[in-house]
Amino acid sequence: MTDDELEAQLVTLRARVQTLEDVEAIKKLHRTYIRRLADRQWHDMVDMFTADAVADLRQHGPRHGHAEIAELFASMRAAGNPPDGYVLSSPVIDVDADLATGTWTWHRHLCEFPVMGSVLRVFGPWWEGRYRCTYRREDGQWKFATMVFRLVAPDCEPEPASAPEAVTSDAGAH
Amino acid sequence: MLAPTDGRRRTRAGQLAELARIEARLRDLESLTEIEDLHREFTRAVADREFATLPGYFTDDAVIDMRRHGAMHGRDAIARHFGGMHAVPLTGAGYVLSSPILDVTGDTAAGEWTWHRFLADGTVAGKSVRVWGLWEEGRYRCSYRRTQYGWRFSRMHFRVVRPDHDDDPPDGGEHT
Repeated sequence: MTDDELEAQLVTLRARVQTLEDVEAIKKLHRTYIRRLADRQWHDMVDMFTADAVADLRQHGPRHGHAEIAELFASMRAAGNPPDGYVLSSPVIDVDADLATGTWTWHRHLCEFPVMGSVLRVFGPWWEGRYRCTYRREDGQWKFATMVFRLVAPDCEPEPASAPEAVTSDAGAH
Repeated sequence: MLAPTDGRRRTRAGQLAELARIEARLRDLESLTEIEDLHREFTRAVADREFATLPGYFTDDAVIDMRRHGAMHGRDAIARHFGGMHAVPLTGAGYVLSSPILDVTGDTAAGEWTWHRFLADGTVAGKSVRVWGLWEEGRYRCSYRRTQYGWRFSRMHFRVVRPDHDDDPPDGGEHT
């Protein structure tokens, strides 16, 4: 093998390894986000988004940037601390240099419900949801650039009435 | 490290050094997969009640701290612990292991996982009845070490965290 051939192979190998490392880093980001969500550790979650990120979660409508996303998390914190179980699975991640897209399946198992002023424990209810996200590398760190989340089963969630725009995977490039 | 971009050619020694760095990064990625396989196979063996095989997933000097049982040091103690699970036959339970977050450093690694157990049998007036929907969520916090036989658990900490959090064992468990 000539020096030029070896150099070309090194460049290719390095790029392939980098892509594999990026996929793992993005999985780690999203799994850490879900674990913090489950554990209600809201304080560090905003920093997992780029400064110009858009989060479009269920009926809440798109939230732009750290301040609006922090406000959204604050409202979720105020909603309480249910002892629900979260399962995040089936990641499909595609990396293109400093941008990436990812789709995940999510399950939430609920077990406590307010009834007549008290809380009843009832096992069985669950939801299935989908994350469709874009990720962007900033200063060597992968972050969420856009996050769209909807429930899909047992009942598919309607789009929020106030949704003024669609968040697409292209938003990650902005 | 990036290749020179200013038009200079890299020496053969430089190329070989770069190749070694790529190989090391690939080795860490392979380790990640091997550790995930180890933990998934361990959980599948638990689900399938293959208790006799479980000590083989640990290093000789491993420490486990499972729920209320307290810390147990070494493979013999670990074998006794899992052997005791024969006495509590739990059938009809489904297990889901998810969200691994692993950090590999050469021949050692740390990992955190989420665990769910879905139960289908409850006890009413001393009799087992089929009840759908019951679940528990747990967390594994583990250390792993590469041995001549492959990756093994060197430390395993496990607690159920939802819907009700496990109390710590009387001895406080293992804190490392």
